Amino acid sequence: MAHYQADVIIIGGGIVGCTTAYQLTRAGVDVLLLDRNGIGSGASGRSGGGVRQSARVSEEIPLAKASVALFPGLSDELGVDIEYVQAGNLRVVESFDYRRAMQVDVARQQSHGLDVSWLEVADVLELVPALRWQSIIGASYCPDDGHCNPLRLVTGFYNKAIEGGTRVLLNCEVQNITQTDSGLAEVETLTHTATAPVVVLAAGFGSQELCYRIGYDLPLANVRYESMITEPLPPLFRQMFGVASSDLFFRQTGNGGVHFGGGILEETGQEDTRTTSSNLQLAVAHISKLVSDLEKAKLLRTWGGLDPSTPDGMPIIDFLNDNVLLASGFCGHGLATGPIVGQHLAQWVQSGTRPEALAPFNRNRFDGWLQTKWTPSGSFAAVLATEDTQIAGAGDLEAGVPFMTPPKYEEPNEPCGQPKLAVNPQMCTGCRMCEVACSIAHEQVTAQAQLRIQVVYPSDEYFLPIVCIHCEEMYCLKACPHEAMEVNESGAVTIIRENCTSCMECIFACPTGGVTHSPARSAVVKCDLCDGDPACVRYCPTQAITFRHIDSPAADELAALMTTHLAARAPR
Amino acid sequence: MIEVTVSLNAGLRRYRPDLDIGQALPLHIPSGTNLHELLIQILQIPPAEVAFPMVNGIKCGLDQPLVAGDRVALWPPVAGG
Amino acid sequence: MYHGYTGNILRVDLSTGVISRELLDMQMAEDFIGGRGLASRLLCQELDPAADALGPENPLIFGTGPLTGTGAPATSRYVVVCKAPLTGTIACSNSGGFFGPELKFAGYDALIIQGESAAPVYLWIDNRTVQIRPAESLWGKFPTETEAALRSLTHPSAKVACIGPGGENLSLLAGVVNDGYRLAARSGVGALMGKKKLKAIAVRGTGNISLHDPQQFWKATLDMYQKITADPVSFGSFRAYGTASLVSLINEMGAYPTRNFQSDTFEGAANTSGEALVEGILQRNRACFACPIACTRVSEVKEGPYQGRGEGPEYESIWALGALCGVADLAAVSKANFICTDYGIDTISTGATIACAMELFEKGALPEQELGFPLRFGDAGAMVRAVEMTGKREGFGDVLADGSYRLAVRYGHPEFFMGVKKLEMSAYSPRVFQGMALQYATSNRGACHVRGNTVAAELYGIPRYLPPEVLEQKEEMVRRPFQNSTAFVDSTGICLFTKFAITHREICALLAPATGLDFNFDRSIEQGDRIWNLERMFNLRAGFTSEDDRLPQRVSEPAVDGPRAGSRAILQEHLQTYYLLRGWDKSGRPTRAKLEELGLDDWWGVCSDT
Repeated sequence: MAHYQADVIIIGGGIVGCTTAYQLTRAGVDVLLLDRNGIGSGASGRSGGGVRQSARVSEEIPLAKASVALFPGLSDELGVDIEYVQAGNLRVVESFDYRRAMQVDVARQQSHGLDVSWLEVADVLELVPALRWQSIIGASYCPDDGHCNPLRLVTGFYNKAIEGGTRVLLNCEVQNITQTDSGLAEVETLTHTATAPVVVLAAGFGSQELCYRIGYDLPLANVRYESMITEPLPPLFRQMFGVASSDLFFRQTGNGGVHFGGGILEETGQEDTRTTSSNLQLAVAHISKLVSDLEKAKLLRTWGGLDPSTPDGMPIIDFLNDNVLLASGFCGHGLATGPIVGQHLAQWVQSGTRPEALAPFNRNRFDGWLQTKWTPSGSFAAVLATEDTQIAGAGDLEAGVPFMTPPKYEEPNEPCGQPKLAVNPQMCTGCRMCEVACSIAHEQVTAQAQLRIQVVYPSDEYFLPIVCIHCEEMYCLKACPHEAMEVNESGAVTIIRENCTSCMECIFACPTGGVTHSPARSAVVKCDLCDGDPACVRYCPTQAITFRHIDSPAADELAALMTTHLAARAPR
Repeated sequence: MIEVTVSLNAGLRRYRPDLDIGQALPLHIPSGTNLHELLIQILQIPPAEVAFPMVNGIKCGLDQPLVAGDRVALWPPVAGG
Repeated sequence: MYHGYTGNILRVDLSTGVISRELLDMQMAEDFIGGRGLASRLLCQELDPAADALGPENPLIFGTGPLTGTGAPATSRYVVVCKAPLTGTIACSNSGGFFGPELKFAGYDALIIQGESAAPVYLWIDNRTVQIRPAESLWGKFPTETEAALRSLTHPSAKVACIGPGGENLSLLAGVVNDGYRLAARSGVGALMGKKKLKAIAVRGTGNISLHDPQQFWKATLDMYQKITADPVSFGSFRAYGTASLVSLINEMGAYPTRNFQSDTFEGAANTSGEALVEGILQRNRACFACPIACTRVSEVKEGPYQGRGEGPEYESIWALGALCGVADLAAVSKANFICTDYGIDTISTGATIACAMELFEKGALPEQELGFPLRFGDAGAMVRAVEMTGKREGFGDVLADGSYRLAVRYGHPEFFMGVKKLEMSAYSPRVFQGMALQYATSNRGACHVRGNTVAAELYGIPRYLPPEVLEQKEEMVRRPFQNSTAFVDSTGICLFTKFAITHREICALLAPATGLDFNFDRSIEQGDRIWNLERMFNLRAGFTSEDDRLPQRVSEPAVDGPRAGSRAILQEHLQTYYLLRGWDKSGRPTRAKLEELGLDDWWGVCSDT
């Protein structure tokens, strides 16, 4: 087990980790940087790219202003074009309900010395002709804001840090942080240990587990957002956009692609960066309503990311004990504030005293976090936003699944073609052994990577495993725009991993729910028939799933049944 | 000849499906017949299917000779909790 | 890194609203495994055993085992542990379904609920996000209704454990109901949940359970899986007849307690047998998580006065609501079973309490004006009516809802209480099964059949046949292959019913690759022994003595009829031998040496100096 020593260990190769490493090495400090994946692989690299001061909580405005002031010089300083565009940020208001609230908020921001103003719809359109006037009431406008390429920004700092002598360990997950007898912090990974007087913990959501191990319950909720980017388009606008009543954002990148996303924020409670067809569709519909002529643009790729979010929307930057300096929970504002936070952190580590600018981000403000305060009246004032809301669509879903009697299932008369998977809902006992068998066979973990097959429970009369039934039509293969699907020797349509862009055309095309997106692999997955010996069939205790010749009427009936219950195959 | 009664339970009921649940079948068998012979020669039930042969409520071996008036009850492997 | 385990214990304080998370102590996990063992160990550090079982300081602990949710066959179990409201002993009620695995997928090995809420609440666990939410709208709902309502309030695939109206009205017969129909039933754990005003726990988990050695685990799983599916008991009879296949067999043996244990043969058994169930009301089978056996019955009574639909009835329910009350009507028994599920009350204790009331009534100790109607053995209508009143605590049901011990004492006939340590006996007559007699007397939660179901040896011949009337070797048999072994199995998260097909060694062969810990046969027996002694120590601290290790007088008297007329429970002869084998002193207290051997001395103190 290799051992390292350094003056400062930084955990997390995101924007905060890289800027801090850069600033420290510049000052001659010996730095070791660790990340469990790669540089910018977490929230930083998946960011929307906004560099804004507006629409921040008051305490954070000074920090954001100071950081934005650094951005114009960064391309030169880092020696890489970070594609910084300082053309302003518009926060679009779509309904009259939000107009008054936005105007009040503009006044608040002005009182903090920010150059921000309210624009009526005519002024907005003069500034950005590409917007649809029908959809807009007005917008708040901060001309000093802008956007940049997040990956270039992070790697710029990273490369500079390496030039300065920072040592780096990537793909190296920290398991624990302990204290040695001599008062140093010791960081353990599976293959290394490292000691240093100070550890900067800037691992985003990953900080939570480590904090927990050293006895601090870091109050983070994990908010997932989903992003996508179109093919390069002619110039439409240079500004950064947000929407007041939702979390949609969009911008046009340096090469012309429109990068947008958000749509719905969902607390996932875990590190889940999958994208869902429903959220993506919502975002596409929403931006099409706001921007002209975007309907025909092709989407190149989609990705998901996580905003580690604190209850009050501000990061926690504070020492947890003598050694560990936590800087996490940036709530999606880390990219814009990262450059200045790195300076302050470096200063704090060297001087030992808290820079005044970081005072609002102390951890004491959450003493007693994770508490849901209960009052005798029965009302709840949760520290986290915990409105007792229904999951969108849950009610609809129940209504949409009819209680139908299972169809009569008969053996086919004349076998034809390749053997296929056939499901008999009357024989299924609902034990989910097929899910377990499938997930272990494909993912080597139990049960929850189960997306190739999933049992749904339409009623207590019968249970239905939904899986690819290997239809003759091969809708998925025909829909794939990237030649990423082929038919294997067993007759199953399978995915050619190298060609797949996760565009999900196949998922939309399949009428029976046979193709899905796996959070475990962050990729599209489907049944591959396990080289002709399907695990689900082998371990179904009741032969409810069989692998055999099946005639077309039976196959059609099965397809119809699965389509009926597709809604029940909601993301688990 | 002696008379005994036989009841078949759980999965063994398929060998005499016309019997009501709990109904015993009266049989005249040669005296000295044991359970094994009763199963093979008279009832034509494979002895391997019988896990709990009971004579007058006591579990016994298949070599048990039957006497007049014995109440035979047979079960395949069953269990519960 | 945690394998098999998630490494987290969730703690919810309903008095203050504080929700926190703790790391699992792996040394504790090695000593107590998980499930029953771990949860009992946690209880011992949370609670002074002498405390009031319905007080706010009594925590309600939900525990899963390291195998729960891993996908090995029948790994669906979770336990509910607390000080039992019904008995005052340590309680550990066990249930399957899908709730336990979901708790694991959400990332928790155990859930400790402490304190009391002032108004009804439910707990919503969405992976790491945990909230206490108001449950006024759910109060009074049946479990199936609660589950449906919670799924629309939280997430369509949430799994729910809740209490029925029985738990809400603090019936000491109440259990915790999960997945609509399954009860962690005995000892009155639902009353504690009701006292805490916690209507339900809804869980959604989307995480994986990490395995130490997936290849090896999967191989062991498949071996076990194939063994179960090849086994005629597990796969044949359970699949076809469920537990109810035993009705006719145990009755034929003359070991089927009838009319409050006055007789051991029931003339109406055929009408309520597993065969009658299958041919009459069975709709289909259903399975718990990853279970190839699928012993659950989905049944429906379609016509007559007792229409209803639900799961069951199981062997014990058929017996308690049937033979024990002298009722030979399967529709009525099924209806009573469905009502018990709806109100979330234990079928065994409910049936036994009504049987006790029937005897009190017939013998003139319980006046009709207090009951409101005549309650005679064999009266199906009166039995169903009494069950419903018990669930609602309506009229005389208010007395019945506190169980048969309190009922019998109240009317001056404690000898009519047919149980041990205030818990009612189950459907194997201790007059016939001498192993069960010792097991009932010494079980840590009172007279219960699943702490050590010696019928496996005394009838099925698992692990080897020892005729029921034989006394020799029964003490060792009860202690080691049954009580200790069951404590181990209950702690792993696997279903006890797999034990008919697979052995201890095979469970260890699953645990080792799942957790990466050194599980082997010898250690597993020691772990079981440690858990048993821990529970015993809890009970001793709670005020129980060897005086409580005794059976009702009635079963010590010879049976009057049936094929085993004249047989009786012989306990005194082997109680002392049992204590000796356990390493306890003459008054049933673990010795210093025993506790040191098990590593229980350092934190618990020593109970006996001899």
